[in-house]
Amino acid sequence: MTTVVADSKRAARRRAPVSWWRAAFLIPALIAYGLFVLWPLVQTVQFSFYDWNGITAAEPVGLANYAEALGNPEIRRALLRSLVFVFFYCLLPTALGLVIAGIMSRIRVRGSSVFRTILFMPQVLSMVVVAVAWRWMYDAQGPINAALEAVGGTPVVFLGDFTLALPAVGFIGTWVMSGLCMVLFIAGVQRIPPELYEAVRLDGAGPIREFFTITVPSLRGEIMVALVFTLTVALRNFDIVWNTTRGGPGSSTMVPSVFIYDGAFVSRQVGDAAAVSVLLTVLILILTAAIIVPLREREAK
Amino acid sequence: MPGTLPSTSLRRRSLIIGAGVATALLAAACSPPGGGERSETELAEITEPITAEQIAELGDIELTVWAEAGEEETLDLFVPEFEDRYPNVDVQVSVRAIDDLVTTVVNALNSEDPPDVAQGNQGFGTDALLVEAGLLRPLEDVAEAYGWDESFNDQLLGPLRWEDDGSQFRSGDLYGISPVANNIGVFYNEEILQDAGVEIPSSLEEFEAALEAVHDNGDLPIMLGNSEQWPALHVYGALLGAFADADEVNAWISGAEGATFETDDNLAAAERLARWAEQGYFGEAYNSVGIDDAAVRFGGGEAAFMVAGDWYAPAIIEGGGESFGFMAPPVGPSGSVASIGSVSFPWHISARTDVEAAAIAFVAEMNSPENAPLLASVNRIPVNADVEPPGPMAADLVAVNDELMAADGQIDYPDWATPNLYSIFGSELQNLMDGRSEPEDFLAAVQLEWEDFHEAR
Repeated sequence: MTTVVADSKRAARRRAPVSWWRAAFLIPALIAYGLFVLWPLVQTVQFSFYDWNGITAAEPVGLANYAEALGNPEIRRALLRSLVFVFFYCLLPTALGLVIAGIMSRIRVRGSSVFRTILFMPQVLSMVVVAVAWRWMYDAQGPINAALEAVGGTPVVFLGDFTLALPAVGFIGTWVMSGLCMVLFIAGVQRIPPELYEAVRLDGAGPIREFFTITVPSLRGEIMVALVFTLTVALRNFDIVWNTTRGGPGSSTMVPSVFIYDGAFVSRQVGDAAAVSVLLTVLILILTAAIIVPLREREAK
Repeated sequence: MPGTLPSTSLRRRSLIIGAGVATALLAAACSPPGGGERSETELAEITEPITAEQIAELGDIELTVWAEAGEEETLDLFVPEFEDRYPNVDVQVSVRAIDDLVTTVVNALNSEDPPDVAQGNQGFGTDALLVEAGLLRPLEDVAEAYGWDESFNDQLLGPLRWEDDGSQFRSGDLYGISPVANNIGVFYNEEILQDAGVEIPSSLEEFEAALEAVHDNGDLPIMLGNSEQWPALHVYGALLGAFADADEVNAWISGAEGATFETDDNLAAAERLARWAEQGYFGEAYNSVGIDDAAVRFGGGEAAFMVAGDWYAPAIIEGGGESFGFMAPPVGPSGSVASIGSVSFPWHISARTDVEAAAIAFVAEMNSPENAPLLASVNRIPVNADVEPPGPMAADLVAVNDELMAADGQIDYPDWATPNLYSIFGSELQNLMDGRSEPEDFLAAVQLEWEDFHEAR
């Protein structure tokens, strides 16, 4: 008992004077964060209440920009398209990453680090480079169509087709994000105690049972990180869309970020653009919370 | 213990701090954005061309210039000459692709340290805002001192004149100038036409007959690269020239009261564009090809025609092909030759420049007839002087420009009409050409945007 008390006292003494002194180290980062993240955020919220062309005096309009954004069927459609991107940027890569991690937890692939590096590469490349590369891949005279023709198919106009453009752009996201998810999950799998696998195998579980009872639950933390990160990218994706289709053809790949760019820089309706930005931020926060909260609660149990 | 959550009191304290910071930020953000004082030009008007002495008096200075990418070759030649004439001036050029230029130049000119000279874009998307905010130095005195009223065709200067509140163009003071023509016309590949057994067409009927013959012959009739969405507008503009009266379209673009886009002529042009697309005259892949790639492919002999701006001539003849030419869009029911055309992106002088004399000299000398041979040598078409074209393609470009000017057939770029039309024309024309909307719907969508914009002003 006494030692416990003494321990906690010592702990308290160690902690008490430290908090403010330690906080001083945060100041430079806080200033940078405040200046480049918080301040623009506050400004965006402020702009969303004005009718403003970005230059001349702004006119306060209250919530009119929000009403307009929510009432605009084009923006509602853009948000729905974002959900398609959530499938391609977030759900599909996470599932693919899990499957690969599951396989790698059972068999050792020769040269797996080379394999991993190659799959992770897209993460390192600038999104603009990725977009330009895929434009070439999807081109009517590009390698995918050449392959199709080689096996006797007819050429497909991926990015110029009203129905194919959205999944085609989405698939680029799958390609970029899968490597990240896989690297995250493989690192996590190596942390799972081998005894768990041995135990479940002794119980007679096959690879699929093993995957769902051991691998997936053990990776809950990694899955959460992967989902949150890829979801955010899916919803605010701009660079890939802009550099492949610019929202076209028609408005078939028009997502909220393209609206925001257009409003802020081309049509100069800064208030409208800011309102859509705020709505998008709120949507991202809600969806992120929807992922984190249930996973956290289960962890707490 | 490492890894535990902060104690409740610490948590509460950080909440309080967070709330405090948020309140402070919100308080700071309370005043409405924008506005500021309209920068009134205090610069004296000039009555004579700027002299070398006036510039020498400025001491060693930097002249910052923002230009569109198409000007790069011109500036590579012009700037060293300019710096030779005025050794105390160091010209700092920054070149941007057009989309990057129009999205950044307004904010740059509105900043604390604006470029002294910058190119804008005609119409309500860019120049209107620059004029309204008082960011540009009016050029009336410069025009008079340098005699631009003699060297330039007055019609061409129309889109560069603005009411000083930015509400209307074609009236008011001159705010920009460019010596170079940007006309939309038809590039053709004679070899492919001969192969299909047709002559170079001049009327719309002949042109359509040629499209059909080329198509039947298994070649692509028209090269279009439309992944940027705006290039189709230039094809539509060429058709507008065939069907509509240039003055009527221009009145609508510059915001004349009661004007409408929903005319029979505009409808006929839209129907024709939709029909060409339906018949496969643009191929299947046009929405997935970029316009620059399209020019290179056309130069490689992949299509009979390319309806596009004359500024693609260098990219097209770069491949070394000899069978290429450029002509004005075919004459249709409107009865006279007309097409989209104007001077290129206008050169502006910042109202806040502190090296005004050098800025004026730069713009004025760029736009002097003496500079025309330099422009012609890099395949630009000077509008303010007769020049000897450096090759057959350049000769075609000059001929088309002369033809359009003689017929008063230059139609403004339709996307100048409102800031949103650049995007709306883009997506609506893709819908129209894919058969997803009717020509009537296309005209109505454009007119609705036009009315919204002018009502809100």
